[in-house]
Amino acid sequence: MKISEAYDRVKAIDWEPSYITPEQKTVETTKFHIHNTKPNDPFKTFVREYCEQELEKDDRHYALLEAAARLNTGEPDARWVEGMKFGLSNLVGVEYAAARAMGRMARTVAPVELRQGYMMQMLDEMRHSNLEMNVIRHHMRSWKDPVGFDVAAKAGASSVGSSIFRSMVEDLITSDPVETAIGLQVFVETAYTNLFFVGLSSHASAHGDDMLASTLLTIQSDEARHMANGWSTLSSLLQDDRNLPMIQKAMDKWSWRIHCSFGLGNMLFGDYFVRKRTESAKEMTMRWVFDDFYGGFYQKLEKFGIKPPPHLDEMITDLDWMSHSAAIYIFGAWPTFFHRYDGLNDDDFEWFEKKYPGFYKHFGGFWEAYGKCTDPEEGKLILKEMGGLPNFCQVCQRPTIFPRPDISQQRAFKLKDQTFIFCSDGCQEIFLEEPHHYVGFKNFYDLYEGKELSEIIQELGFVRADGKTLMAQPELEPKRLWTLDDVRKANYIVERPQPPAFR
Amino acid sequence: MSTIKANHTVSAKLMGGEEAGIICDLMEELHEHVDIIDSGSYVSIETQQEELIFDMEEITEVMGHSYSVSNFLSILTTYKGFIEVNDDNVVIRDNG
Repeated sequence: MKISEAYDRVKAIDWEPSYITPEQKTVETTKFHIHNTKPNDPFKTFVREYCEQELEKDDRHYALLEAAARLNTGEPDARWVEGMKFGLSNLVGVEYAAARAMGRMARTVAPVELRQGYMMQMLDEMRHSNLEMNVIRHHMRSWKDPVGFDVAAKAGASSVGSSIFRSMVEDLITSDPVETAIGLQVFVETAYTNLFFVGLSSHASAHGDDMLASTLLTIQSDEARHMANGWSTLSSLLQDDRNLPMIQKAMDKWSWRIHCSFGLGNMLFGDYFVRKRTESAKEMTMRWVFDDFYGGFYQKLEKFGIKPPPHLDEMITDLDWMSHSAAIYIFGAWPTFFHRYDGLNDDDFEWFEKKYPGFYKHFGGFWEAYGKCTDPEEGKLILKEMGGLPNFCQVCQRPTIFPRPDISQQRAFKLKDQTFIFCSDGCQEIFLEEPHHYVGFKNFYDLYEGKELSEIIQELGFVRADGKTLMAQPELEPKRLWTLDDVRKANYIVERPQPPAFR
Repeated sequence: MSTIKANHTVSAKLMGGEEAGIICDLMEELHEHVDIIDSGSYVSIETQQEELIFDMEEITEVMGHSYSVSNFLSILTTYKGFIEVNDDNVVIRDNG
C-alpha cells in the first residue's frame, strides 16, 4: 500500500468521543481558528517508521560516542570546548521546554495530522535533551578540566547569560499554544537552528569536537521534520482569513524575540568561541537566516498577505556589532560564569577589523583592559574597571548595550508605579501587547543587588570542589587560579545602575 | 523598510560520511544543475532549479545495498525549500 494511502486510512480511524464535547477534548484553547482546517503533513510519518528511523539515528550517533570514549581522537581546541560549557548549558533546558510546548500544542489542535506531528516532535525534543546531556557527559569524562560541564543543567537555570534563553523559552511555553508553533517551529527551528546546529557543527568539527558536531547534526535531522510541522501549521492557519492579523502579530513578535536570543547565541559562539575561521558570524547569519530563511521561506508568505517583520532592517544592521557587544558583556562578567575564557589575540583583532571595520575603535579599549585584569595577584576585576554591569531588558533579558554600548537603544518605561527597562523598540512593543507576561521576571539586580560578588558566586554554586577556587577563570591557562578570596579583595558590590531616559 | 529579496535555492544538507559522498556523486552525475558544497561535517546539494528529487532506486543501485527513504532521512540534517516524503523518493521544492 502506498504511504499516502496508508496515511489516509490511519487518519480516518480518528473519531469524536461521545462522552465529552469537542471543546472539552481540546484541553487548552487557542485564539486562532484551526479546528476545521485541512492540514498537510509532508513527512506522513507513522509511529512504527518514526521509531525505526530514530533507532537508526541513535545507533549511528551513539556508536560514535562509544568509539570516541575508547579511541584517542586528540584534544579539541580549548577556546571552543570551554565556550561550550556555557553554550550547552542553555540547550538542555530549551529542548525540555520545547517538549512541553509540543504537549500543549498536541492537546489544543483538532486536526489529527498536526497532532501526530507535534507528538513525534515532543519525543524528538526529549531525545535532543538527552543527546545534549550525553555530549556534556562525554566532555566531562574526556576534557582536561571537566568543571563547569558538571553544573551545566543547573547553570542553565541560573547564570546571568542563561536568562536570555530562559526568558525566551518561558515566553514560548506560556503563549497561546498555536502562537508557540510560529515562534518555535517557524523562527527557532526553520530560521535559527539551521545556523546553530548545522552551521556551528562545521566549527565544532574544525576545532576537534567531533562528538558535538555529530550531536548537532543528528538533532537537526529531527528539526527537518519540525520545520515541516511549522509549515503545516502555518499553511493550515492561512486557510482562514480571520487568522491573518494574529499570524502577522505573532510573526512580528517572534522574529524579534528569536533574533535577540538564538540569534545572539549564534553570533557570540560563531565569532568568539572559535579560533579557526572561514567566515564571520555575521556572514553566516546573513547566509542562513536572512538569505535562506527570509528570502527562501518568509518571502513566499507575502502572497498570503504576510508583511516583512517591522524591525528587519534593524536586525540586519545589529549584526555589525551584536557579537562584540555580547562578548564584552560575557567576558566582563566572567566570575559569574563557569568556564575558562580565552581573550583576544592579534590574529583575532586583525580578523575582526577586516570583517567588522571599526571594531578596534569601539571595542579595542575593553580588550586592552581585559588583558590587564587576568592576574589574580594584581587583584583587578574587569567588571569593576568597567563600572559594573549594565541594565537588563525586562523582555529579552539581554544587557541593554545593543547594538553597541555607545549607541544603545535602552529606555525606561513606567507602568502603574513600576519602572521597566527595555533594550529596543522591538522589546517595548512586545511588552505593551501583554505586560502581564513579562512583569514577573526577576533579573540579576532583583536577586543580588547589594551583595558582594564572592557571595553571589558561592550562591550560584560556581566554585570548585575545594570550596574556594572559582570555576570560571579569565584565561585558559592562568599562572594561578582565581579564588573567592581574590574576588573578595576586589570588593565589588552589585549596584543597580540608574535607569535610562524614559520613553 | 527593506523588502525581502527572494531566494530560490533548493538544497538538501546531508551529514558528512560515506553515504553522503555516494549520494552527492550520484546527484552530480545525474543533474548538471546541481552544486555540491563540502563543509566538513556536512555536505550541501543545491540547485537553482524548481526541485531536487532523491530517488531511492537510483541510490540503491550506486550504494550497493538496499537504501530506503528512512535511511535517507537518517542522514538528511536539514533542507531548504518545501519537502515531500513519498514511498520511493524525497522531493524538495522551491514552492510549497
